[in-house]
Amino acid sequence: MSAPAKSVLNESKQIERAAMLIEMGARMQVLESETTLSYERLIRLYKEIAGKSPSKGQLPFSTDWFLTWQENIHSSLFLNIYEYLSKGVSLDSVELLTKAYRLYNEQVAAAQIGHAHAHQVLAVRRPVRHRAVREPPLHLRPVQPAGTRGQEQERGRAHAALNRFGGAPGRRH
Amino acid sequence: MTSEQLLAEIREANLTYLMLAQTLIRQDKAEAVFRLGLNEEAADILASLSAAQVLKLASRNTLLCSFRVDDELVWSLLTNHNTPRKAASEATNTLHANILMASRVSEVL
Repeated sequence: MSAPAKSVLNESKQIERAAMLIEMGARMQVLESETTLSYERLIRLYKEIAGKSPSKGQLPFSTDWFLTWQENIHSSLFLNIYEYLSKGVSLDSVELLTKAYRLYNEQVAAAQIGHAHAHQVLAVRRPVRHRAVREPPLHLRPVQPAGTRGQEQERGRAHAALNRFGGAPGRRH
Repeated sequence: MTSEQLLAEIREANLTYLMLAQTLIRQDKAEAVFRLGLNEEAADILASLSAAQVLKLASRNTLLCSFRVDDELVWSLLTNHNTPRKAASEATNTLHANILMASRVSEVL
């Protein structure tokens, strides 16, 4: 976001946006890249909303992380919703991300009613790169037989970062 | 059921659909586009209709909403009938169907 207009209205909008992202579990890097607020204000806001200091550092970046079936299903669902919204409605990037994420969460919650493993698989953690997602959605991999599911679920506990869909290679390796 | 009753039911369904659509669009247009499978222009038009216009639109003998599931795979996933993979759990089937439904971008273009 370049050359932000200095206006009270804009600032209140930015604060609202940051608050929404914090509630979704976004880290400082996301807040810094998606809003125009200063680092100090973001820290204060974070503490006020989350009740704790933001966690430090970035999440490890690994492309084969998405090759396990559960994460793949979740990311395919999210990406499809994201693309649907990005093509169907004109929204700015943060709105697009948050609305798609909300819809994705809602669908997962609806699909997993009565299932114990309704843990979070995707989370808004990393900054999203501002460019259109060009890669085709990841396709569903075959679901493995029931015997190996426990093991898969363990692996699924790790959290994903949504910006992986940006398609850019990891900066930190 | 007489044909008179049937037509009354169609009109009622139309009215319910239009009212729901308006509520959804006015609450959050982007979400509504996704949920209804309408494009943005259609959503704008729907949202701008007055109550009288909605009523007039609803009181026709044709059903205004159409079916969104039109392929075999989504059908069988949603009904859990004839699933291609027996080992797949119901939750996975639902998610799979959701993925396929969410990929129908053409309906909003």
